[in-house]
Order: sequence, then structure tokens, then C-alpha cells
Amino acid sequence: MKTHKAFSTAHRQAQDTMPDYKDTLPDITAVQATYRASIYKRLFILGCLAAGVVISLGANFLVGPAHLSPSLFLQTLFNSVSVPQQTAIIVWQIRMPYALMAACIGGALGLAGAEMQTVLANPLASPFTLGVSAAGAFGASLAIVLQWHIAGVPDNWLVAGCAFVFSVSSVFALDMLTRFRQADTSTVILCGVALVFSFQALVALMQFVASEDTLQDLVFWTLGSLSRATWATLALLAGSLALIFPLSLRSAGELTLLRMGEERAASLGVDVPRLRRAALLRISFLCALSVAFVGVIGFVGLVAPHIARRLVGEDHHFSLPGSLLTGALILSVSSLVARILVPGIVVPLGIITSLVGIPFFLAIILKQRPMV
Amino acid sequence: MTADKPFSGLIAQNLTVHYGRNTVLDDLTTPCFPHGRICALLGPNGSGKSTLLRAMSGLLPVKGCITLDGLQLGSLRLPERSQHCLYLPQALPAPVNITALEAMLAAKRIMPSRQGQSFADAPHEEDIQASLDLLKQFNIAHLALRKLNELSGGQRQLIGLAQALGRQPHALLLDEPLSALDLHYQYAVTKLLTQITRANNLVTLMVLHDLNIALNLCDLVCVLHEGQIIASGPPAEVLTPALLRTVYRVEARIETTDDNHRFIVITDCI
Ligand SMILES: Nc1ncnc2c1ncn2[C@@H]1O[C@H](COP(=O)(O)OP(=O)(O)OP(=O)(O)O)[C@@H](O)[C@H]1O
Ligand SMILES: [Mg+2]
Repeated sequence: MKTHKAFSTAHRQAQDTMPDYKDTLPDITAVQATYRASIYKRLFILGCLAAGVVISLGANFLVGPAHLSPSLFLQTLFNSVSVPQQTAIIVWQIRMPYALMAACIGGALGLAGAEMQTVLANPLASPFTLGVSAAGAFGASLAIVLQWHIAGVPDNWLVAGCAFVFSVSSVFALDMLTRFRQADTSTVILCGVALVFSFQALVALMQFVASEDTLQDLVFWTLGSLSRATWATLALLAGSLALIFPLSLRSAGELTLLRMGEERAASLGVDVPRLRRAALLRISFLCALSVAFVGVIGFVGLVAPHIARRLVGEDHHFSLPGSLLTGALILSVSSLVARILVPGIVVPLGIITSLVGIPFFLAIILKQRPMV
Repeated sequence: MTADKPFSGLIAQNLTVHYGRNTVLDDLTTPCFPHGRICALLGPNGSGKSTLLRAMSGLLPVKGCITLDGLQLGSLRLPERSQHCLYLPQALPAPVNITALEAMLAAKRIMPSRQGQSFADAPHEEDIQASLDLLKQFNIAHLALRKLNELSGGQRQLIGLAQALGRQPHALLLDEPLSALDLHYQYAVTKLLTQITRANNLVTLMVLHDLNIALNLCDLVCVLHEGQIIASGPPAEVLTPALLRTVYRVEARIETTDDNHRFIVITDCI
């Protein structure tokens, strides 16, 4: 009896507070203004990231064993004949390629990671999940340990070329496999993980058979280092990034819809297989180039897209540039840390990025809302 | 519209679809789904309803012939095809960090007729206006600037439906558009779809599991059973106790109220 009464009062209360179903249309101009404001806010965040990259680049130029004042740096930059030759060499041959390479590699890996997480619909996808970098490291180690030579080609370019070929072919092998078997995205990831382990085992095998002095070279590939950055490799990477980024941005609308579900995107007219193939092509190119020039650098490709999505949302017109800038910022800061952590020694970058990346990563996954 | 064609509407002929070695639809020919009518596609779980709709919208490789007003849809590429005939998937839109309005604008922006416009040109005021109007018709204009990952399943389903309608196709293939909706919205959305279908002369085919809605609010029903269409026509003629027994394995009778509403009373399940 008592429960019955409680029920009936509850129902009456519910009726009293029943919402008015006539929906009032929010003022169109107000909605437009809010929408505009949200776009400007995201552009502002992108601007801040870009400013952060510029500042960390500046710090990278100035900080180091040889102290440079900003004015001396600017003087070297614009009038290098008026400064001591040693300073000019430090700025032009060491600091600038190193710092710019860090930012470019970070940007390339961030962009590749963002596209990869979208097309594979997996938050753990990164250029390394597919074994792209492991394949590259294996290619490089083959060339180093077996001491391949081609007349007229400098050895370091040969090694880089070998790494590139292996990275790109690993992606294509994966793509062939998935197209042939009509595999879904989780199968792609699993095959990628299998590739990572096989290539890591092969690299370990190469290290095992390598002689003392080639081992030193191998460590460069497996730990990642910017110390071999030159203007030529920098130009190649920056040029590719400048070519590929607009292409990525052109697919931004389709990638955004893909986030809402593969079938939904397809039903709205997105050619998902074509989009996925084009994205994998861009990703493999960027990853292969970065592996070829600086070796295996983990984590940036994984965390940068997550951070960018938190900052600017999942509209890829913003999250793709956001990931690129976040990646550039992380790697730029990491490269600074790598040089000042132990005075006189440049710690391999791969170590620092993982150490810098882990706190970020933990913060993200622990904050993540439960997904349905 | 092309009224002088041999038939006007959406029709699939001799359709064969398989997943791997498993043939789901075998030489199926549908009745012609006409313009301006709301048709319900009924059938038990696994009978091939989603497969049929996916096949008709070009998401699956098929053998057979699918025509809309005499136009062979099979000869079109997916982006163009989706402008004629749009499928709404059964799965709800994923809870992503995008606002409802942006989701609707994104769906409009990838239409082939809009290619060549840069992101900066869009979104036009009319696009925003049209999207908001649609959301208002669904009674969810207040969700326009909310993110999808902060909405409930039913709210996301409504946004997904609005997103599909915003594309203004000629034929709409809706896969269980009411599955996550409350009692009010199940009726409100069906009535709204009927109204839009009539006003714009659309072909609307929707998969339903609620036979009472099919019986009272739909113009035609089509029943799919084990990959074959075993009945189609006006709901009152098709939905008989005998059919419910074979297709849904329930004992039922169909009652009519004084004000001419029909409802199905299930008495037992076989
Ligand atoms: N991707 C797939 N791969 C293999 N078989 C599939 C696949 N999708 C569906 N099927 C099979 O095809 C048949 C029809 O499936 P379909 O999804 O069309 O059913 P449905 O009528 O939509 O069912 P529901 O009412 O549960 O949505 C089922 O037997 C199912 O097992
Ligand atoms: Mg289904």
C-alpha cells in the first residue's frame, strides 16, 4: 500500500515538471556566433602550438655547450661572415639542422599517427604499431652489417635508402594482405604487431652477428638520433611534409566522417577503401623517411594525436594540423632535453621521447571517459 | 521526377549477395518502392534486412540490378550514388568529440556537388540554417552545439537521422532508425518521416521491429524471411496471424479499436 502511494505521488510530480516539448529554435545568429567563436578558439590554440614550436626552436638554437646570445645568433643567421668561423659552423652545421630536423620529424610522425589512428579506428595505432619503423631499422641494419656499397652513392644515403625501402614495403605488404583477405582494422593492427616483433627479432639477430664498430652504427637506428641531420636530409623531409600535408588536409572532411563509424562514412558517400589506401600511402612515406633519417623514435606518433584531439576536437581540419604541431613541439622539447640532460652528451632521442611521452600518455588514458 | 518511365521508384531485381561463401540473398527481386510513400521492411533477426539495404545503397558487392526511376544505380560511383540513394546504418553514430552541427555540416560538405570548395568557403549560412531547421523539426535544436560524446544513444540516433536527411537524397534506406528512441520519438520521428516523404516525394524504406508502428503509420510493408520476400503490400493485408506465426513464430491476433487503430496482441510464442 505504502509503495503504491509513493509511486502515484512520484508520477504526479513527474507530470508537474514535464518538459515543454515545443523546442525553441536557438537564435540562428547566436548559434552562428558560437560556432564561429569555437572555430576562432581552435585557430587560436593552433597558433599557440605554433608559437610553442617557434620558441622551442629558438631555445634549441641558443642552448648548448657553446653559449650563444640571441644577438650573436641573429648576427650569424643574417651575416655569417662577420662572426667567428667556429660560431658560424656551430649555428649552420650543427644547431639549425638538428633543431629543425627535430621539429620536422615530430610533425611528420604526429601527422602520420593522427591519420593512422583514424583510418585504423584504433587509439593505439601509431607509425610503430604497423612495424614501419621496425622494418626500417631492419633494412638499415642489413645495409650496415652486410656492408653494402654502391659506387657513387654515399654509404649513409645507401643505409637511409635501404631503411626507406623496407619501411614502405612493410606497409604495402600489409595493405596487400588486408586487401587480399578483406581483413578488418583489428586484423591490420594484429598483423602490424606481428611485423613489429619479427623485425625486432631480426634486428636483434643482426646486432648479434655485428662486429664492434658496426654495432655503434646499429644503436643509432634502434635508439633514434638527430645527430646525423644534414641540410640535405632536412630539405627532403621538410619538402615531403610540405607536399603531403595539404593532401592530408584535403581528406580532412572524409576522415572526420570516418571517425563516426566506417559504415556511416561509407553510407554518406566516402570511398573508405580508397581513403584508407591513400592515407596509408602518405603515412608510410612520412614514417619511412623519418626512420631513414633519424632511426626509431617512438611515442610521438602515438601521443601527439591524442593531445591534439583533446585540445581542438576531432574535426580533422583542426586535429591534423594540431597533431602535426603537437608532434613538432614534443620532439623539439625532447631534443632540447636530450642535449641538456647530461652535460656534454647527447642522449639518444628515442629514450627521451619515451620518458617525456609517458607522463602525457598516462594523463590521457587515466582521464579518458569510459567508452561505450 | 520521371513519371513517364516504365516505373518510378526504387527496385532491386535478381539480387544475389554473399558474405564469403555464405549466400544471404539469392536471386531476390523486391517490389517497387514508390515515391511519396513510407515503406516498412520487416523480418526477424538475421533475415537479411540490413544486407538488402546495404546492397541497394552500394555498400556491398552484388550481382543484380538496382534502379531508381529507371537509373541504374550500379553504374554510379559511391559518392554520386549516395546523393541518389542514402543508407542510414543500424549502428549508432560513434560518440566522438564533434558537435552535432559540425557532424551535419561535415556530411553535407563531402557531397560531390560541393567538391572544389575549400573549408574556408564553407560553412555557408544556409547550410547552418538548413541544419538547424532540420534539428528543430526533430525537436533537438538545443543539442546543436553539444558534442556527440556527451549525448545519449537515442540523441545520437536522432542526430544521425538528421545528418542523413540533411543530405537530401531521393531515396532513403533507414536501418532501424527507431531502435534507440523512446515512445514519444518513435512516433514523432515516424510521423515526421512520413511528412518529409510526402512533401519531397521521397522513396523511404525503413527497417522496423515494432509491428504496431508498421501497422498504423506505414503505407506499405514488405516482409523478408530467410532471404526471401514472402509478402508485401498494405500493412493491414500483409500482417495476418498466419504470417506472424510463420515469420515471427508467435501466436497473435490483430484487434481494431473503435477509432480504427490496429494493434497486435501476442498470446503465445511458439
Ligand atoms: N559481415 C558479415 N559477414 C558474414 N555474414 C554476415 C555479415 N553480416 C551479416 N551476415 C549474415 O547475414 C545474414 C543476414 O544479416 P543481416 O544483418 O542482413 O540481418 P538483419 O535482418 O539486418 O538482422 P537484424 O534484425 O538483427 O538487424 C545473417 O545470417 C548474418 O549471419
Ligand atoms: Mg540489421
